[in-house]
Amino acid sequence: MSDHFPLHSERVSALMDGELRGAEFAQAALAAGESPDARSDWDTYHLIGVALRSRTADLRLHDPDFVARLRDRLAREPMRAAPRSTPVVQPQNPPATAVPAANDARWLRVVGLASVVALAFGLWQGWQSLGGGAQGGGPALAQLTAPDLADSSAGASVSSKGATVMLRDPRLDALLAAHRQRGSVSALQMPAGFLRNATFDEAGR
Amino acid sequence: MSSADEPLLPPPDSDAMLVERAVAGDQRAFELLVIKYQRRVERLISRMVRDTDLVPDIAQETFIRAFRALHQFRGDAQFYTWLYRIAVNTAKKFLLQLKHDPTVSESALTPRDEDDETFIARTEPSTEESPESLLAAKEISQVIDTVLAELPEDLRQALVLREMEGLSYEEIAVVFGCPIGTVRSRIFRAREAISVRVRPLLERQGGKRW
Repeated sequence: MSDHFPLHSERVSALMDGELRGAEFAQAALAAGESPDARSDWDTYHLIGVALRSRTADLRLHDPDFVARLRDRLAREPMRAAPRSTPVVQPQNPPATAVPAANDARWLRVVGLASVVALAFGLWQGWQSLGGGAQGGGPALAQLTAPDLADSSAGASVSSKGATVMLRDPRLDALLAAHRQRGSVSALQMPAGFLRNATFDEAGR
Repeated sequence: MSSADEPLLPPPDSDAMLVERAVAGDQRAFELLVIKYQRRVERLISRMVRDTDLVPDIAQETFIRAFRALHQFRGDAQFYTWLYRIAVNTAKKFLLQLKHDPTVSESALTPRDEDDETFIARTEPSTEESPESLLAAKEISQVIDTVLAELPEDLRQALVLREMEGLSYEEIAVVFGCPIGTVRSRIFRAREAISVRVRPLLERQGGKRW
């Protein structure tokens, strides 16, 4: 048996099995649609499969005149694009991918840390607006910068303006730790402006 | 060759991808589907309409309606199931229209089975099919059987696992313990070996089956 086969024939064989993807699929589909030899392979290979699966199937090649007449009619049909929200192709053998569970420890740490950062910044904004920071025995200030975050890929950011001061209070930390698993504040959520707007004692009000 | 009375289910294929390509504007992709299913659609219609002269026209209309509705194909069912439904509805519509045509005889309208309102897969050949076509089909099947038996073991097994067991290339590669590229090559070479022997018979075959 000769090993010198046209490339389009082997591609047609893989094309009919749905095993081609991307550029190779596009090239094979184009060749099968345009080349008479490739279309002949397409027809014959399919017929072989039909014959192997059934003893009573219609074992005839397609009628070229039928396809030619249909092509003429199709040429007069307007093309209609599929709605973008409704994909046609369904993966035949979707690869099994491990989806990390929502309660995976790594994700819990990321969410917890992001919650802490977002809440702490919100509290700091409120503290600033109240003119705080001068109380005796107040909580120690800690410097926190983006690279110090445990997982910067989580997208946590302390402040859009580069402020890196975070208010730390042992009692607050304990409260946050107790609610860490239920924290739903996005790490990217901007501090609530209402804390600033809720201030009073503005002159002339 | 399957020894069962019922035909085996076809393996996974590229129908959905070709539909997507056709919807995107490649009519040649749709023509590939027409080439693949023309005979099956005609056979289905021939079981609903006794007048064999009407079969090609109804089949044409079926594919035209399928083309118009391609954007509605969601891929949640097999394409051929969707196409067959269109073929049945098209044939029924044709029958209804012809019923009101006084120039059409009753015998042309009578379906082959009185209760054949929907397509029912049948394995027995139609009594209207010509003896010559039946003989030709039998000869083709025998040649395919013979060539398959003559193939090297690895090529034959690869083709059988693909066509009759419906395994994917990846699954066959696991069975053989070889790369997917090797599976692809073996299946192609098996098909090509059979094609070389059977194509002359197919090209000699002509005329109507029914």
